[in-house]
Amino acid sequence: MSKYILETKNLSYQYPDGTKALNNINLKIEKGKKVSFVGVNGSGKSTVFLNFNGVLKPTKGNVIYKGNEIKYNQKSLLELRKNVGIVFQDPENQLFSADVYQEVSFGAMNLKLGDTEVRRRVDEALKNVGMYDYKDKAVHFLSYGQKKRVAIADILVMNPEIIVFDEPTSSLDPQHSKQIVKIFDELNEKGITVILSTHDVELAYSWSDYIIVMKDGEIFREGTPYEIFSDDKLIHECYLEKPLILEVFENLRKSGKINCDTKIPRNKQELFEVINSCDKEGL
Amino acid sequence: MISIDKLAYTSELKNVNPMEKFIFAMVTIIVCISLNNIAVSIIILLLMASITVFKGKLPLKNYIQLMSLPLAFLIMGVITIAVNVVSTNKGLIFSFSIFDIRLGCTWDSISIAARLFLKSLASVSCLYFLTLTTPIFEVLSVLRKLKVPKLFVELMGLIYRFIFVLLDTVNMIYISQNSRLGYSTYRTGLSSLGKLVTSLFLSAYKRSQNIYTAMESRCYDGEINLLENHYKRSYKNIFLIIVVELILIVISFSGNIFGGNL
Repeated sequence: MSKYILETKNLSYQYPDGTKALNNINLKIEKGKKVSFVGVNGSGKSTVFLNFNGVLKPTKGNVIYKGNEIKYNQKSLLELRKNVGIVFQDPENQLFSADVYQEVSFGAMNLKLGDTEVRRRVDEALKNVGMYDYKDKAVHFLSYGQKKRVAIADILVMNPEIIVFDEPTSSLDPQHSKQIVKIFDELNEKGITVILSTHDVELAYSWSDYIIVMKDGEIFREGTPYEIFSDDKLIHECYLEKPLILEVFENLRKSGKINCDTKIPRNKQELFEVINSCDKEGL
Repeated sequence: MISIDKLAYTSELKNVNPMEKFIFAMVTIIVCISLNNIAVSIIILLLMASITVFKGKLPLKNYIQLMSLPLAFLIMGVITIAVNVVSTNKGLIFSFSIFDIRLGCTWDSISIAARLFLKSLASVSCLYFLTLTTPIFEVLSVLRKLKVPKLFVELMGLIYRFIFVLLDTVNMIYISQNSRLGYSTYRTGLSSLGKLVTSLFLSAYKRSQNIYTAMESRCYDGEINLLENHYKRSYKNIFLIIVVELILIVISFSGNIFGGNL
């Protein structure tokens, strides 16, 4: 078995109205990694995600899950959708049941599991996103952040190997964003491959193992967070922004305030450590 | 509508087996309508009200407010029955003439009107008992158990969920129009309202497609299967329901208790 859990080969997608959304996408996603997709609105991130899960069928090329090419028949689609879950951007577009518990049970019921197993999974999924206390509530009484978490539980209940989040932190307050990112990390620790799209460069930089930059329906560049965000030309061409932490670090390094061979900081904590250790050396 | 829903979720009777509540409400309505007895109607009204308010811990104020909703319709309807075209003076309480037609109110018509009024109010109290103690999705699960066609129940569930989404959308569009003076005059108001309806339809259509996509990605295969809550059957409740209904029937047949055949 290859180490790549999900691949696409020459994948192109054209919407029925003729809009070319994706052009020749070749991707290899490693199992158990944290992958971010960045790129402006309309660059094709969501369309790629829908292709991952078989909701959209590529016009050309194919999607490969665990080394097996997806055939678009009922059985292989069921297998793919069971293993690749998508959490949509707007929970209002995803939650269709009025009752939280029933809503979360939908995916598991579709896998034709037994009643007790469904119940166990729903309980577990709700606990994982911290919404167990709300299980008897009506969906329309929940806040946006709570709906978002229920939407995540919706997918967790199917025990997927890959979870794809479409702009998970958009319209969330900082507190809820942090909680959601914590959920991603917990999922990842369990061995689930987490893929997300985001406009938040700070999140992409500090959280991901690997970043894919999309532009105009194509993959513009892929690489580690540092490779992507240290490339000023790329940042400019793809309308991205340099993460503040990296910018501060590069500036300090340029002005000779810190050594060139220190570890590149990924988050605030690491940046402070770098600065503090340099101070000591200076004294 | 929204407040009724909220009250149902906070009711203390929420966790009682919905099937028992459903049967209780429905059988009582049938008894009430078919017996057509003033005493029975009053008893049902008081019984249902006290169960909903005291057992369900519903604020009395809310209950009275909700009860007064159908009252306006009821009174209007009942007046037309109480006041009728009359030809004789037998049993007449008062009468008046409009052109050549003589309208009046007799003891008989008053009695019919009162009977109808109380019967309707008692039936409403039965329905309120159900809706104020049972969240809608549990009513749906009862309907499913009663073998109501699946499509019908699924549609009810979806409609119920999306009423709230629709109301939210209406509210958002309305605010955005209003903040741009869309309702400043009667004319612009009408035109804005038209546009509101149009864009509401479009966004509803678009959302339905999005929902379908999201459901499809969760292995939707054309049937919405959801986990049902299991409730213990309470033999005590079933016994009580039977006793109450029997008492009501006995009361109506021993008409003499309340001074003759009302």
